[in-house]
Amino acid sequence: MNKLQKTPGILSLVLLACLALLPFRVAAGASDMNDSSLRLAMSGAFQPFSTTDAAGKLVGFDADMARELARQMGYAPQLIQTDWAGIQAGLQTGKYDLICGSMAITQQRLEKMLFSLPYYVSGAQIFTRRGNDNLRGSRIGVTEDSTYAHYIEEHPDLFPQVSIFTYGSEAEIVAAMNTDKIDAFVSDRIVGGFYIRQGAAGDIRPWGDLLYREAVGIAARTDSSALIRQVNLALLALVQSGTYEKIYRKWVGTTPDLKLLFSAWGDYARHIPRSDQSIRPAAETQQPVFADSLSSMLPLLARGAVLTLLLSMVTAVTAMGTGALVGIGTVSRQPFLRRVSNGFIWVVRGTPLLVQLFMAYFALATLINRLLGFEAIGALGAAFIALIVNTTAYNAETLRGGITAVDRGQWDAAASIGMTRSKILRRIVLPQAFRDALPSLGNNLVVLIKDTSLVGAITLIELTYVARNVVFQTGQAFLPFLCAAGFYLAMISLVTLGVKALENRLRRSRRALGESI
Amino acid sequence: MSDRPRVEIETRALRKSFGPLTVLDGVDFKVRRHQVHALFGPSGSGKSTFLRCLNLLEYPDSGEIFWKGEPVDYRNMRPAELSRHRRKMGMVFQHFHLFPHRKVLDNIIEGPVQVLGTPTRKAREQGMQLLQQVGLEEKAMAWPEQLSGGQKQRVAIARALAMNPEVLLLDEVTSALDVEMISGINELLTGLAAAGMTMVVVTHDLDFARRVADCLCFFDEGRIVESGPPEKVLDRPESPRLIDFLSSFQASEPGTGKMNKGGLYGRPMVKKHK
Repeated sequence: MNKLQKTPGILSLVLLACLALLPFRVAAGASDMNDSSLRLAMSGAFQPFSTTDAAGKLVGFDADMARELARQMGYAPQLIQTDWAGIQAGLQTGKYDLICGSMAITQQRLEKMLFSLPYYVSGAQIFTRRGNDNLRGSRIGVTEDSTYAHYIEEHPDLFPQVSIFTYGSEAEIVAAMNTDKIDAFVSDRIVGGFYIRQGAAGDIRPWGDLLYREAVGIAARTDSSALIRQVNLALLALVQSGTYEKIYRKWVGTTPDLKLLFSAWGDYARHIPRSDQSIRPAAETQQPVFADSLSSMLPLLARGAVLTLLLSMVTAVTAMGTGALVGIGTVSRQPFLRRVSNGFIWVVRGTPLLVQLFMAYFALATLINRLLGFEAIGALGAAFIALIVNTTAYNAETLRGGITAVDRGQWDAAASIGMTRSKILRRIVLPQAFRDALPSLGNNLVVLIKDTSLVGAITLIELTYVARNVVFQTGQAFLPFLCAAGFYLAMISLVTLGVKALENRLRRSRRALGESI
Repeated sequence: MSDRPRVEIETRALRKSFGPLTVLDGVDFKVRRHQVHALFGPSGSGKSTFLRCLNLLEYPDSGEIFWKGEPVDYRNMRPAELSRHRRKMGMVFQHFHLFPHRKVLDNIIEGPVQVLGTPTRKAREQGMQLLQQVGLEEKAMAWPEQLSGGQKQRVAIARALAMNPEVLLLDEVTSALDVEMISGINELLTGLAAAGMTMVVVTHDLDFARRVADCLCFFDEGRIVESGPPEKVLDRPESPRLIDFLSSFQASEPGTGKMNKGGLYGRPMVKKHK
């Protein structure tokens, strides 16, 4: 193989010649199979490679390739849609057998996974608005765990003083472009072209040449070398039969450059598992990663934890005050105030926090920033807005319950000594309502701490986000999440203890009663 | 009228309904200075609601209220005026309604400090004196939940007195108490009456009413059916409703003059004697 590697042209001929062997190999593979279905994962959020149709079925280039490859190998294809951010962890933990989701083959990934021969070749392309000819100081969007962020950081000459924002999918990147969150983005050449054709991104155009060429392969666990060999043979068969070209034309819209594909095969041929390579047990490969990553991931996790802590505490304190105001509003004698307060609680409690985060980030912050003409509210501001609004509604509802649970006689007694309504609320009713609502308010706080894990969706690097990223980088699925879970548990335990202590302090009258009996 | 004590509160044709239920059906009433007025009658006859209308815990639907001859414009009252009106009258409730999150002394000084603006130190001194008066000075730092029912009611009375009210409104203040607690509270109220406190008392305890009250008013179906001095109202009742009421009451507990609560709860018992 070494000799062939030096001359990709010759290699491709040899590989094509290998196709003759194919029917026998595949037939042999199929007869060995105990389990007749093959599970292939993709994000479903990467047009035109994988997306879902109106019926929720996975469609696209990757989806068609996955189905055809599996059939060619003699399996029933089972396509699994999973978030791109967790796609490697899912493979490592055996949730599926292969990733057929447009994953570029990189040195870093090759250390964690096996890859098939490239099944298409594309490249990294900068996209920006027409007329924007200088990237200095730009805000650049990329998807989580894409190779682009790394490339941008390694090439400060091409990307001077830029800041990188990561998003869950290309669709969100386009939304971010449309709402001025970012000035440019780096994406796959084909994907960018697809969005331009869709017209979804307005006046966004490719800018400059390809940054680099990317060969995209199908990934498997390191213990699946036999499976990867089957994939390679099936891929060859699809190219030979013309099925590959048919699928490519259907989704990409152009004829595939097979010469380019074969030369990429030559480049990656040395990664093809040899037939005599013994299958390594998974534990053997994961053990060293486990030990290595602990020391390196802790500082990262700690930084995420600081943001989580900041978000939780500022929101908790603010939402206690605003929650009290809205809670009082619900028992106001002004029908308008009452309606506004109840309406607020109804809407906020009736919508998911993730939706509120996106609305604060993509809609509200954008609107305010455009009105003011500068970026007044960034991702952190939007996260605070959404978290405070959400927690306010829950605290208000909790307090409303506490207020209405206070005996009517307390109002009568306080009114009879001439206290005004506001004074009765402040000095007589609210302290009792607060005392009774304290366990539920503590519960709201616990929910809040855990809900901060959602702000990763709007580019903030909090604890869960860090844990997920460490999982991609190390391929180790358990330890980062275990650390994150431990940190949340510690934080929530502290909060719970604090609330309990406060409860005891406020209920000292009951305790005193217990002692006197 | 000049020889009679001055009128503190007067109501004319007071009416109040809760939905379809008419609770007060035109009540004319005068509260005279230094006198004790006992309101009695079957449950649901409107006496408690009437009491709550006097200090505007409930707003009448129609009718007039006068304070020392001045009309009280309860329909357009600002919060400050309402507060001023209410604090002229102290009120004590059947179920005490002490503030559970405040210690005994703090319950008492809440009104003086928060409403009258009395300095805390002075309010505390006065509060201690009141606690002494009701016999509970050693409980000043206790929590309400640590007190017995009778003790709670004493604190509630002290809390009402702390505002220096001109009239005391008492709404069945012994009804929720154990029998052995009642005489203590009654003694306390008798002492207040002797000291010249103007009182309006809703009660089921006719013995107490006979001993202490200057004027008894019999309420039935939202009206004052009969009123006058105890010996007239209790011994020589004129209206058939009152005669029925008194006979049912005496039949249920003969000789004691102590009301049987069961017999008074609801009208079926009264109607039986019609």
